[in-house]
Amino acid sequence: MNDVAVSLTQAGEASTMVPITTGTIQIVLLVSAVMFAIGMVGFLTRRNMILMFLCTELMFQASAIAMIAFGRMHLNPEGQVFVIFILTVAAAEAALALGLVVLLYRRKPTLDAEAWSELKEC
Amino acid sequence: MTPSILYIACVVGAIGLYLIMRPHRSATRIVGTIAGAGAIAFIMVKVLEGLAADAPVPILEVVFGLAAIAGAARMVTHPRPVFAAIYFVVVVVSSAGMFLLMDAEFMAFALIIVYAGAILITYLFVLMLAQDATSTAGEALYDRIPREPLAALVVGFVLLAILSDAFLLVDGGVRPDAPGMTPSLASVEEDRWMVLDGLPLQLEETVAEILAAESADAPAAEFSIERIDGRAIRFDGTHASVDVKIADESRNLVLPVSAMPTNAQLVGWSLVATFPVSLEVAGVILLMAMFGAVVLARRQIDLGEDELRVAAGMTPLLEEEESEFAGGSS
Repeated sequence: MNDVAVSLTQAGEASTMVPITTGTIQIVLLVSAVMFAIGMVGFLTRRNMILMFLCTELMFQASAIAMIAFGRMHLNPEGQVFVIFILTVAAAEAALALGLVVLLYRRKPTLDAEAWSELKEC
Repeated sequence: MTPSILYIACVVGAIGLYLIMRPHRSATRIVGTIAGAGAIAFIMVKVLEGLAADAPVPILEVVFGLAAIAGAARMVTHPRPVFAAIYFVVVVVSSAGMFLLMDAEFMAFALIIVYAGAILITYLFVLMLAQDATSTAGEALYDRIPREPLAALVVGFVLLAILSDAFLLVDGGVRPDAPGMTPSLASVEEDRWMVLDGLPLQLEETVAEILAAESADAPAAEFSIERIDGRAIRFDGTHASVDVKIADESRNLVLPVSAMPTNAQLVGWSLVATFPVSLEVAGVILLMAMFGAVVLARRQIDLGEDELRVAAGMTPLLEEEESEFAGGSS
């Protein structure tokens, strides 16, 4: 029982109460920006429909990193709550997009997005 | 770092990514990798140079960040879809590492479970399902040749230049140590104690632990926590304390810092107390996605006229042998 008291009183400051350093947040935000840009380039350049959706997941990932970083900076759990919602939307999007891809693959047996370019109407 | 240096680094990075995208040329790919990695490393070094001299260097963040960026670049350019999906696992794991470094343990593990465990497996499953059985020898042509890489790179890296400009340069970049950027620690601490205030069972357990530790030999005394205006915890800027009544005697107990709610508890509290409607909407989104996926991917069966009659509960018009000629194929 005394051990409990020692662990309760001597555990020191909670680590989340330390403000984030400028270097950490700038590096993390830079990484998130680069990941978002790469994901966007990938979405525009890949022809494979499945990989295009995978690139949107990369962009989700980048925005999640930025949200966690800003939530950490303001010592506020709401950034993490938004990441939970991002995960929800990503899961829903994956299910719908893959269902759509399977449907399209049954119509034309290729994953090439160009096969459906007549949908552009130009 | 001046903006022009940042923009030049972005352009070099774009050229690197373009060279990695070129199919069938390992030499240009190596040059591109060097150019891209060099541009990223250059910007990071410039960021770290701009810090105060005694500031700690975030080595782990740099390592995880470089791993994430390398995985992302390879994922975008790899000619084999399955390998691209596996490189995405690298991205997920390194960003989970960054989440851990930013004290978001719950989200780090949720990310690995949900992304690497569930979403990635779904992608791999569909990739295997839809992969051309004929092209077992190598990559499909449409996976090797990028579509309009120059235009895409211009769009993507103009976006990157703007974003990194805003994060790193405008008004000195994002600076948590600047006055007024972050809330005071005392107000954050008060918010967290108020979360514990909303968790009466945990508060009672904490108080019981403190009391039991005080009098190790004596049997645990009955106590009740006094609430004034519905609030049990009082916070004076440095210490949080609770008024406890033990055998008609009032006492003031100071709560230790370790009794503060953990990060996962704060996230859960925020989820149900601050965003309950969003939580419900997220549930509805998941449900509708499930319905949508079922409706989309269901195999559609063309029924003949007679079979539709049977499905509607009517008797078929044709005899068994006749129906073969009547075209009611399934």
